Amino acid sequence: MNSTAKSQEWTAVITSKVPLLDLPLGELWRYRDMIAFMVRRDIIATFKQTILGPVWYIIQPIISSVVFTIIFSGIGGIPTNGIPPFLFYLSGNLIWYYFSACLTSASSTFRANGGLFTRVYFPRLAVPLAQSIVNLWHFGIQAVIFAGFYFYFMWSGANIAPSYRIIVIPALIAQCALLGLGVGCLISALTTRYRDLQIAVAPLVQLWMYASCIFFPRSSVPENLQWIMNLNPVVPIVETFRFALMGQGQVEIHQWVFSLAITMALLLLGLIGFSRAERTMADTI
Amino acid sequence: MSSLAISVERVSKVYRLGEITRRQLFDDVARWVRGIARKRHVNYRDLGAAAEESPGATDLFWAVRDVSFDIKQGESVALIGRNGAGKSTLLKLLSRITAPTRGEIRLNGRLASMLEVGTGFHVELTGRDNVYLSGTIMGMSRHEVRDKFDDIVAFAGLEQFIDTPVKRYSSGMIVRLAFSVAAHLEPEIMILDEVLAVGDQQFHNQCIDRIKEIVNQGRTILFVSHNMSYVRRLTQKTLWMQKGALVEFGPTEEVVNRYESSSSSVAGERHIHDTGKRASVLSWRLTEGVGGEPNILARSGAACAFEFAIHADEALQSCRFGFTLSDFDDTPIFVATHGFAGVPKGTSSLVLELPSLPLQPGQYRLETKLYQRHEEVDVWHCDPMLVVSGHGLPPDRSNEGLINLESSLRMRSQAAN
Repeated sequence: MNSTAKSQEWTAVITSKVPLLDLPLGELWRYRDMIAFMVRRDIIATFKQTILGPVWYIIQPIISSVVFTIIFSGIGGIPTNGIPPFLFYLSGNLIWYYFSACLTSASSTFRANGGLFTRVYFPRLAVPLAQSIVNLWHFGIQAVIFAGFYFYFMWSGANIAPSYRIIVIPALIAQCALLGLGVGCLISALTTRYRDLQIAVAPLVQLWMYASCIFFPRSSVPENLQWIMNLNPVVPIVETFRFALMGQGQVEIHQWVFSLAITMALLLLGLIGFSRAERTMADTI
Repeated sequence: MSSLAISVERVSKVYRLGEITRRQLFDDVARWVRGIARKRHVNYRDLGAAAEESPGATDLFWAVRDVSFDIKQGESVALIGRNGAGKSTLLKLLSRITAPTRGEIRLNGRLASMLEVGTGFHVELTGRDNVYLSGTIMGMSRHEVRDKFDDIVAFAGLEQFIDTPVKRYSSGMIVRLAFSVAAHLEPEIMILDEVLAVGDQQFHNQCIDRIKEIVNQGRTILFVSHNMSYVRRLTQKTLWMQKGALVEFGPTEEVVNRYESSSSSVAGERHIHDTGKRASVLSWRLTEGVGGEPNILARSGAACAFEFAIHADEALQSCRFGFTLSDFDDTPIFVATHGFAGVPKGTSSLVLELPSLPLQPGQYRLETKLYQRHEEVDVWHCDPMLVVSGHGLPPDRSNEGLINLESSLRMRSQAAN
């Protein structure tokens, strides 16, 4: 039996041995149709039987940007580097929402799909990937609204102008997706065993937001706290995003490179955790 | 055709029982510390090592232990065993839902399972969208689903409703559509579960026919069932599992006979104090059978005699004895009622004789009723069940249908006209 078994070609070998990182790129490609239908499902199903539908994605950032404008700029007097406060907060919200949505949806992968995962096999990474595509759709809707306000402010004489720098924006969005995916996958892997983390996600994301230059420009951070800004990979993304759009912000190339390095490290860690967790999640979920 | 489709080599799966609590964290740490103390590297998350390390551990459970077998391409194999034998775990390992603790599984070809239907259905989507979603989740490409789409919908009988959201469907309609998607997958290796054949009788038959069709297409099949008549009809070989281990792997007829006798004979005796009646049938056996202790294995087509042991607290006069033989699904096949003089006080035995037992191989339920005049004294759903073996039947004899009669075919001569 062994001689035949060894000499034969096999399409799949399932073992107990754990490879450190199992990145099933070929398999994900074969399941691309499934990813497309999952994206379609989420886009269609979320707003079935709602009156406003996708308008909700617009209302949310506008309301919080209005609130931030009143509290931080109006009452708190925090500077926005010459950018109209409302646009400053709306741009911060725009990029932050995409990042945090990717993180949050990836972090609930195993918990939200437990029923499906214990019934049928497919590359599990397809689920957070599909989620980040869905989130990209939401981002697109919000970006259109942002563009509307942007041109309104430009037309009414604010000191902003679009430039060739916007070409870096796709790279920033990709980095947001990868960072959110990495951290989300890591949390998701840990939650298969210890559920506490699931509850901790929302407050952690909130805290992270406070440390991510959404409410204030990096230039207003005191010197002795700049090290936090350096450690936080989201800060250079937000600052570069604002700089690319409105020509205002503190961008240094080495900060962005460092942030990219942290992003890649977290992504790798997340994927390792995820590929370990997917092998046994069916037993512990 | 001798190449293998599935090769399972010394596969084990250990589960941790109970909930994951703070205690679990302490246990993990304790095992890890013990490993260090013995100067051996023990991965504290490796449950296999943990289970071997402390065989007495009550929180670790071998769901599948050291199972090896090979299935050739094109073979149809049944997986049988009682609840908790490890069948589901083995299927989960094969379909890559969970990873084995030990050992290796090799697959040649795409594997799809029809273990759970309706995977990935979303109630807000239309039937059409759900067919595509569910089909691609189960490994089909968009084009494959499109090619089969009309067949899938026709099989489910939902042409009219296919563009209606699934939440407006009845539960029966959802199940039919879900089964239909799964039934039209075309993988090289297919895992089937007879329990899936759900719905009304007509759809049930349609499902079984579809399963037969898949089997006849010459694909490699692993078929899970508790219904031995399906197992006998649909498979060539059978894997019998018990308590996580492989008991036997061989030709279906042999394995199933032994499985049925063993599963029947573990049943308990009926005791007088359990019944609390004036008189009761306590046990039954065949006066002459093929084998097994107690003797409950009959041979298809041969004569047989059932002997019933009766205990009576008092003598009964003008009695009647009712005997019902039913198939596994409790459909009566044969009913007999005989009057007799009476039952003496104490223990006695009645013998019921049949000149031949033309039943298909399988398990059958027996029921006895004891009446005095028109008053029912005792009813017993006999335990163990009767097992009929196909041993000695001509190999070309069809095992379809409920009963097994002698038949012959001849051409009538033209001269008669």
